[in-house]
Amino acid sequence: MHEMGLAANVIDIVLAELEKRNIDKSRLTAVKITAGKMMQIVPESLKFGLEIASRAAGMPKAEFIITEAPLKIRCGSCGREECMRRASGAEEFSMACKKCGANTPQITGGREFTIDSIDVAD
Amino acid sequence: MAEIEIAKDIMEENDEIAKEVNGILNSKNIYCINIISSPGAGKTTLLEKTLARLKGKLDCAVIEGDISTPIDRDRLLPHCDRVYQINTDTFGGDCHLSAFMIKDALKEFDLDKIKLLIIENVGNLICPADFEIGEHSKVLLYSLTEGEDKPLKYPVSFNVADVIVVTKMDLLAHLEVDMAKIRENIAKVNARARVIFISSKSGEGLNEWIDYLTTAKKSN
Repeated sequence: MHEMGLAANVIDIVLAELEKRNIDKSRLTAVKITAGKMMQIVPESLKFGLEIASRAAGMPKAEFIITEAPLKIRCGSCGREECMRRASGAEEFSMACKKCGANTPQITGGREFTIDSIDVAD
Repeated sequence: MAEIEIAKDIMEENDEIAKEVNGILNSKNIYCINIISSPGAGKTTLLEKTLARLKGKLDCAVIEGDISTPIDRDRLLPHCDRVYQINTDTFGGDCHLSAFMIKDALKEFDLDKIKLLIIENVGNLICPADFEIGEHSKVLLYSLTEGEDKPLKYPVSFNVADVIVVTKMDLLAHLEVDMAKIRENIAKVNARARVIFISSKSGEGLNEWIDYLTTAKKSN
């Protein structure tokens, strides 16, 4: 349950970005976030935390749109790339290459956690 | 309405401080491990044995992370003078250690007198995997009583580990555990980690563990 602390980080960054651009914080209507599968974030929990934190920070109209980015791996042996929607224990879960069988995966995506953009009212 | 591009990494602040911590440790030639596990996997017991064995051979310091109480610090103090306890309930009860906590804790030690810094993270197999704290290696402890499927249930923590230590091996005779399955499931989520099997109680595997700690220092 680290979503509440991360939500506070997001709000701090948004406030700093608004201030940098001289935009009144009450104009904020949306924040778009990408959360990689490897960050183990529960989008609903993060959203819940963000809504509480944004209201407390004087941005009551802000909506939070969280897009999950898949876990991406590249086989270190044959270079085959694979996109895994789940980063958790389905019974057949394995990072070994489905083509050549080598167990030399390199993680190329899924650790991102970014604020991509914000929407502000005119 | 206008859309404004931000493109900002939310973990950046923590990661920057982690880099700073790592830089401080490197400048003092200190090797640092970050120990992660579920609560009750045997982190503190292993550290009691480890510190007792390293006493007089390798200068260690320990940062203990718990939500509350100095119990673990008090357990380790008989074996090592340099133990600092972080209680995350002073930071809102965080379920992991963050880089800024380590940066502050470093001020508690005379860094010129330390060769190995051991950080025992808060017992939790999810959140600590997301937070870099300036360490050189992540060590994951996994006790035999947790079952063969643990690596598959917590693949991220297992995947980020450089070393996986399977603990409580003395219980093998009493449990219905399939060791081949444990090895297989670890390899499914992390094929590169070194795996060490130990029992802090019987001493099995402790030589290999101590060896890892002392050579990790030398290769740095």
